[in-house]
Amino acid sequence: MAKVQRRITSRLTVIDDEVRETVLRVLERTPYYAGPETAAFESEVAAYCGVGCGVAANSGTSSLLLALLARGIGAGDDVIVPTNTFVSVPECVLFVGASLVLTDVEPDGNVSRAIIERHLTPRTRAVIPVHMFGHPVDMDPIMDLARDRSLFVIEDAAHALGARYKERRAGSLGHVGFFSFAGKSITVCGQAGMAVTADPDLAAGMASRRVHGWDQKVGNVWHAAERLGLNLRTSELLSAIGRVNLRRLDRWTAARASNAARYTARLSAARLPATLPATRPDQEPGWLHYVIRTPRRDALRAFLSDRSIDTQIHYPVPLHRQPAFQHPAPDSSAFPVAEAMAADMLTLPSHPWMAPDEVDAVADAVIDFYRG
Amino acid sequence: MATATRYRTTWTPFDAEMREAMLRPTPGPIYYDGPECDAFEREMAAYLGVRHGVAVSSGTAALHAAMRAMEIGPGHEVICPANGYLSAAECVLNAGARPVYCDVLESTANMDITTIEPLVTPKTKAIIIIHTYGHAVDMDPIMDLARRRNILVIEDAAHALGGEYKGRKLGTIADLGFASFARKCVTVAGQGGMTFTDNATWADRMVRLRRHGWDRTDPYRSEVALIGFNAVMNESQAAVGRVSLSRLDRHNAARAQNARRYTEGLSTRGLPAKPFAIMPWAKHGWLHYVVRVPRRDGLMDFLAAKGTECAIHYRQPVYRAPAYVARAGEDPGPRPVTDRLVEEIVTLPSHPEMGDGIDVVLDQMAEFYARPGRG
Repeated sequence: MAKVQRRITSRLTVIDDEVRETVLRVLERTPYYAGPETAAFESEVAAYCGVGCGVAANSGTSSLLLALLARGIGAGDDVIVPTNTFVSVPECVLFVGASLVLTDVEPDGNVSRAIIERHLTPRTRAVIPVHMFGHPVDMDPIMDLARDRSLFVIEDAAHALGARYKERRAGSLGHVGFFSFAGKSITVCGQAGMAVTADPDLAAGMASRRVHGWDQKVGNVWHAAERLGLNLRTSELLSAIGRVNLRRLDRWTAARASNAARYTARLSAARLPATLPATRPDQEPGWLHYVIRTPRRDALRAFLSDRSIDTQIHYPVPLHRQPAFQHPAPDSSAFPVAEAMAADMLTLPSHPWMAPDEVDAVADAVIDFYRG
Repeated sequence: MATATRYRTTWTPFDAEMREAMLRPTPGPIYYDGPECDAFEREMAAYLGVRHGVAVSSGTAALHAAMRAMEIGPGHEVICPANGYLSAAECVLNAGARPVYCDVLESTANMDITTIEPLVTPKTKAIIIIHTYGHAVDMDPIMDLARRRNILVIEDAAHALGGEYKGRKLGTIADLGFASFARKCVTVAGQGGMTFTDNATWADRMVRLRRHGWDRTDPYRSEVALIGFNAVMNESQAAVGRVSLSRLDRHNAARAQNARRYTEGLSTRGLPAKPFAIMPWAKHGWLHYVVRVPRRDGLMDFLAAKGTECAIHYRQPVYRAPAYVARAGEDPGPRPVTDRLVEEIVTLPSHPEMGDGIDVVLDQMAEFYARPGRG
């Protein structure tokens, strides 16, 4: 058995010399907000995703909120959201006054056209598919449905920057997609978010609402609010860090994919009672999270923790059971797959700085647990 | 060739000490909710003499969090000044409540018990006080009214951090206060805001609201009982804010000195510019030195051509913003004092590094008013 010498953490945030030098360079020029670093970060992320427009904000949550506001989603509208995602999605839906319609997911953790169709009503205006763990949703059928039913599709690509579906980047598949750059996300700059879209009018509407509803052609100067907005600006410093890390993203994704392949090879050879992540031919995952589904999950988690291995659960409480959101049908039997996943999924550490022997050590510890 | 701008109303200090501070958090992996934010909250609360400071991503976010924590929302009316920064009305509308705009006094540009009281109805849930330009609103009669009528009072101290009312720091007199640390404000952190309160329940709620409703000690895993949002303050911003706070009293003293120099200089030069009154209860925060002048737009153009950039706080009365009228679904009708002031006010550059620049601006104004006027 491989001996784990130091704690293997679920994630790592690296601030190295290049990041430090970038911070210094930006601080020499402009420390605050709405400057050239943010503008460049926006165009670089948009170009990376193959669309025309990027709109930066102070978090992924803010990016989603801006998309809903800019499209005019609000009271009287139903918004379809898978129940197994992060709490920021229902927060935004409820903020704009729309109704939250939670759905179950397919066994891979993603929502599908078939599931969405079961929840359509005449009031349905928007759908927020989430590319769980970095595996893109099967988007083409959903976009066909969206065309037929005039639905607004917002991709939650917070797990999936860099992932591809049929050669196209996650984030560029719906009407708008958004990313998070928080400490845990796939490309880190501390705390920020961005939405990308091919629709320049939508982008302008988002940019305006980001700064008090001002017309961005006039700039960040006081004039009458053209629309009801907020203040969701990001900072130049964080945009600069994000730009450095965007250049490293493909390298990091390759490292995560290599970790995943190593886990899958070792764990599948051991014939454990665990389900390993599957990848369809149309998916090129971003592999932010390597998630297995396994019986006796909590005991396994404790066993790994005793061996200095951190694991995570994404996410432990499905939205239909979150007390804050008061979903009208909090009956857990309506969400069998999400309930099963909440009970048996486990995210193994798989960040880009893990050495191959660390991946092996984690895999061997999992194997030991089931053999022991 | 146009003269380069030498004097501005905006002042964005960023020097070696702030640069060092901003770099301090970066060697570690903590970007938010870390030791710099904790320290900034503690230091600000100690400076003001309140129990709790809750740091968030902007002044607007501070007011939004406060309103959520205080359960102000649909069905409620909130009184706010017709001439203030837009974020008060913006937050009221975003919370689903109805903004009720009070006019201000001609003497101070501030709201007052006499402009507030006629607007109080059984639906009035809260009053948002703005200490305009840094001068204290007369708080005691308003707090008496609020206690009698069970109304919450929130103080916007974004113009007024360090200013006082009868010896008490602005932002600490009402039920809850807040400030912005955007680059144009008194204390700068680039972007950010903070709420100040003695109420532990509200403070705890705001701490959870700013990060998705989570309990601070157990994020991610815990169930959320509050619908939150994401409005955390960055560690690097908090670090700069701490430096800025350490200079606040010195900067305010410099701004007060500038104001005296302007007021005396306007008088000795016999210029037709009227400063607002300074009431005996007020220690002015002086973020903005604002005077009422004839031929305002001409004066601003003339000064701009001489390299002096003035401003108008604020150019459009918030109560008439078409987007807000549309959202509220009602035209609030005229607010005559606000409407009169907005045609005459001009903010002269008076940041802490102006020094003898004050006399330069005064001379430029004298030159303008020595020319034959039209209208």
